[in-house]
Amino acid sequence: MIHELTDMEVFCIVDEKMPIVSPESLMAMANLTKERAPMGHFPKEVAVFHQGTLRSGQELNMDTGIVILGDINPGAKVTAKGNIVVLGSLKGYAHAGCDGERQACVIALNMQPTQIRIGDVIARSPDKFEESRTVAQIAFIEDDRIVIDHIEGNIHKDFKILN
Amino acid sequence: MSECIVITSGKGGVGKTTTSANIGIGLAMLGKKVILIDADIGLRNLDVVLGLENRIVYNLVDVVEGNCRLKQALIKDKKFPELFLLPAAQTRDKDAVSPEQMKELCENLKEDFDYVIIDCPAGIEQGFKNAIAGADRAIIVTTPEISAIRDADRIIGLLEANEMKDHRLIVNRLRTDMIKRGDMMSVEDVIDILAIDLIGAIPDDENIVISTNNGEPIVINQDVLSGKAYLNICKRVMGEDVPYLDLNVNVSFFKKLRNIMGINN
Repeated sequence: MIHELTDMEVFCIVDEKMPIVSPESLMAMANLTKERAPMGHFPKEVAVFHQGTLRSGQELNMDTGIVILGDINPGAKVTAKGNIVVLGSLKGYAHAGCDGERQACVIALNMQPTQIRIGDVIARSPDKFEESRTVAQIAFIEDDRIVIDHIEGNIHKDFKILN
Repeated sequence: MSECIVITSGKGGVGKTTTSANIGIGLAMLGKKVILIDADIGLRNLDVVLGLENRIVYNLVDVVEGNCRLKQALIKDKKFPELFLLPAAQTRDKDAVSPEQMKELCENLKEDFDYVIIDCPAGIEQGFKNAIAGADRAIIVTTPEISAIRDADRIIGLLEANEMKDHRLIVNRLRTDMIKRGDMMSVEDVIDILAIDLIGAIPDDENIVISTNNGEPIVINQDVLSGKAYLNICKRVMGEDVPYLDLNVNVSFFKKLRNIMGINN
């Protein structure tokens, strides 16, 4: 099956017993409540997937990292103790490493955030964005400031991010 | 001598937020120290209209709940250092604040500012009650449509029931060409129905949409009629007696000539 879809050589299929997300936390994610999902026992290096676009006024709080399959619209807010990866446009608020973890990063395919916070550092967007960019970008802390860089070539090797 | 003014309408989409932003900036242009409060918790817009969305760290709910000090939540405007915004929370709802808390907040802000302008949410529920709690006077915004006027009438009744006697009217989105054809109510018609004092009339102007979308309210641009109309409203808010503008500037020279000669089309 996998062979039909990819050119990659499949040499092993990992079938580890992954930690299963509890029904309560799934409920919490589905309702996008402001209550913190009961996942305190998962380390922040672990990431959880969320499918769907977060719209204005919706808020997603996780004790782990998070991968979002969708957009973060202006006025929406994502808070995570770990890294935040947005497979879509980030136009709202993102707060990675919300327990003060400065090694956390924010990655988005289209980076146009209203505000990014990493650990205790806040950066706001410029008042005017240039035309929409479609290059994946990463935001991380360098010299106590949040910097945003294109993800190109081997650049990821230099990042000291939470993993 | 400072005053707390609520901008309200009952109906949504008649221009409360645009009016709040323009009056706030207009008063700041006239040298006053102004604080704009967005009372529309959960559907905040005033920050977007002012182009200050990316500066929000704390909001009104944080202040009320004691998560931050009042001064920390105030956002200074980009152009006018005497103008501040207290944004609403976007991820909460109207029940997060009580009328008593708003009243206390307004009293605190009146000590530091000449004018406290509150942008009221649409509707007559909790959000409206919160917004009017601390206000000394009201400005009611309506458009010359029966639905908006009906809602404005309801709002005036509720304001009077809350013992707020000082309220003035803004008629927004006037189109002189339609009024001439008899297809739209004139300012006089609206005043006849609502029986309250006018504080200003704003023409329907595409420049307002353009400037609002750019995060720069129209009052900054004093070359257009709508910008002038807003600044005149600000002067009237301050108690000056300013004559009302003639909104008929879009009429072409040829039409004017015909008007003078008494030929009706």
